[in-house]
Amino acid sequence: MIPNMALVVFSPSIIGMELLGTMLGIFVGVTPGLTAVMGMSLMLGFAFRIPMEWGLALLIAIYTGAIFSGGITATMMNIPGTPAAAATCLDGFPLAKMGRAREAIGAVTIASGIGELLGELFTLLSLPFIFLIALKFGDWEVFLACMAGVLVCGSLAGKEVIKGWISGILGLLIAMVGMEEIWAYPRFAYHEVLIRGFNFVPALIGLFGISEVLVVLKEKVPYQLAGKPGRAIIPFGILKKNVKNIIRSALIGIGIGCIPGIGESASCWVSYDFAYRASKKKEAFGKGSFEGVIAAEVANNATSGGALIPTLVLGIPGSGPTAILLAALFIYGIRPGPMLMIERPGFVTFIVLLFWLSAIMIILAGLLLSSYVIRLLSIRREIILPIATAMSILGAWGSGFTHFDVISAFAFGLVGYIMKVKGIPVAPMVLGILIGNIADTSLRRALLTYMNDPLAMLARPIGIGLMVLLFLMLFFSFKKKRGFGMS
Amino acid sequence: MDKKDPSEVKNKKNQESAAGDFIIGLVLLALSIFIIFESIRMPQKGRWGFFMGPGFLPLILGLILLGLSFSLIILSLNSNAPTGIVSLFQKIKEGVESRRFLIIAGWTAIYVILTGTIPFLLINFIYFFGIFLYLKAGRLWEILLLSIGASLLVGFVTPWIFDMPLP
Repeated sequence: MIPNMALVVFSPSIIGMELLGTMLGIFVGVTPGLTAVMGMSLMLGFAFRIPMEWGLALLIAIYTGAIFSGGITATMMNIPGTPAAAATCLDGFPLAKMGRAREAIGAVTIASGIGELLGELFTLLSLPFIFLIALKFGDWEVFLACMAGVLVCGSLAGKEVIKGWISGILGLLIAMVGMEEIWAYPRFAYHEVLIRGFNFVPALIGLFGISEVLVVLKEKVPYQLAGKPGRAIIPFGILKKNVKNIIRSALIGIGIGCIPGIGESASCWVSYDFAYRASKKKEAFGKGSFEGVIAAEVANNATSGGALIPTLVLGIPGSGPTAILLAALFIYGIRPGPMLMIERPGFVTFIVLLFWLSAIMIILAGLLLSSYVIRLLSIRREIILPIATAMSILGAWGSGFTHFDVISAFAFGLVGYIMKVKGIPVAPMVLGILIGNIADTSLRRALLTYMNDPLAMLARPIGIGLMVLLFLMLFFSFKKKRGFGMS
Repeated sequence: MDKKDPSEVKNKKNQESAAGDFIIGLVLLALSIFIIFESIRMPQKGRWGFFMGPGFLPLILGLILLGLSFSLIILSLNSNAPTGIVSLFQKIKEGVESRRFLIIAGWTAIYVILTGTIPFLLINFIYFFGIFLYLKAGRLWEILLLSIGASLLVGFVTPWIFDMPLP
């Protein structure tokens, strides 16, 4: 079956679509304000006018291209192109400021490609087994996984754990604004515009993009990147030393991608955390550690493989972009679910091969285009950041085509500015906004299911494992010297 | 000439930082109390009504936020926050960075508010021209060219690629 599918996938038309999608994805990921979800949803209309195989190739290539190039802006501008690249900022950006942008981009490129390839390989090999585990993931486990994700992100994202957690909790609370899904009650909706709540994309754009612009441009002499721009340098020596890190991060990415709704945004943080704990050079983390960059990028690209599993097998999207992919599948007349492999044998293989092809594309495109991208993003901050602001406003507009989204992006930008000035990390807030509704709905559905026997809910094996993990994370965060304001 | 003792300067910075944390802690405390009260007022139905109601998770989060904001306030008080409040406000009022922030944020706010009211290409050009001029991005003719190029990129090329309606 794989050789037959390979003949289909490696045909000129599919390769052409993948190339187009990769270019669009890179453009979207590199442009602050535009996200993978936006890029994919805006191209959906075009995708339906072409044959299904071409359309899927295009959408998948945009997805992987955007996730990959989000790491480039995270490195060059401290503005992650997608939430998946937020952890890359911590070490990628310091590397760029030190004049090692080319090596950092090289690491991002290769780590992304390897993460994508490994993620899909593990998915293909372990699909039947992961499917069984994924089926056991109920609402209670999803809720615990959400809280664990926010907790980990909060612990790692800033210098002080307490501020990280405040940011995460605020993000979860922001997600509570608007019509909730179970009783359709409008929470904290004191004005009619708040009934639909805050769209995630403007919040992301404001907190990451606009706030960074304000922080940098308020300096009379904004920073400029050191080092001469040029083609990305692949740090082979560093990659060789990080083989364990790469495999571990890929497994984490797949594992977390399987959890519906969490996706790349959480996997990069968990992977970063594991890399930090396993590292012999912990002091380098946050100051320009290749280990950190590699862990984050491998995980966030490997997640696409894991996210495919609940998407294809359960019909539940594993991340935002896979939600768009799911919508595309339904419109093409393909019904994801347990019967997919029986009704359409070979379809999953086809999708995996498309991801593999896009992984090869991002490595090639990344290396070939890197000198242009690095040169472009090395332009003086006084020029590039206002353009980033305007793109961000356009991106906010494109997320919902309402003026409220534009205004909320700017408002989040101001909030993000204050947070950054006060050392409160914005990434946990973004994660909280992204998964807040999922956490709330999952918790209430779990309580509804187990209302006659709450102990049975607490006794679920995977839930116990996640609770133990949560407590361990809390314990180690309290123990960590850099937590709770202690340096 | 008066040379400032580096440890004194560092001390002052720490106090100002602690003062900022103290103020944020107070704001968050007020916010968390508001959230707790609002959550309790949300509808409840049936025997387990509250736990399955829309106010349950916001209440838990509000309580966690209350605890965290208390911790932040206490930590800031331990770092002599009250002594730093006056110098913090002075720094904000007189600082060059504060002025730059207000101008850039204000100009961007005008751009955001007028987006959709004035033709998109035009508002982009005005925004870019103003901000490049303020940031001294180059000579006047360079700023003019940059503004035109940037406006076309944001106002025409990108929406065309993605087939997006303009504001």
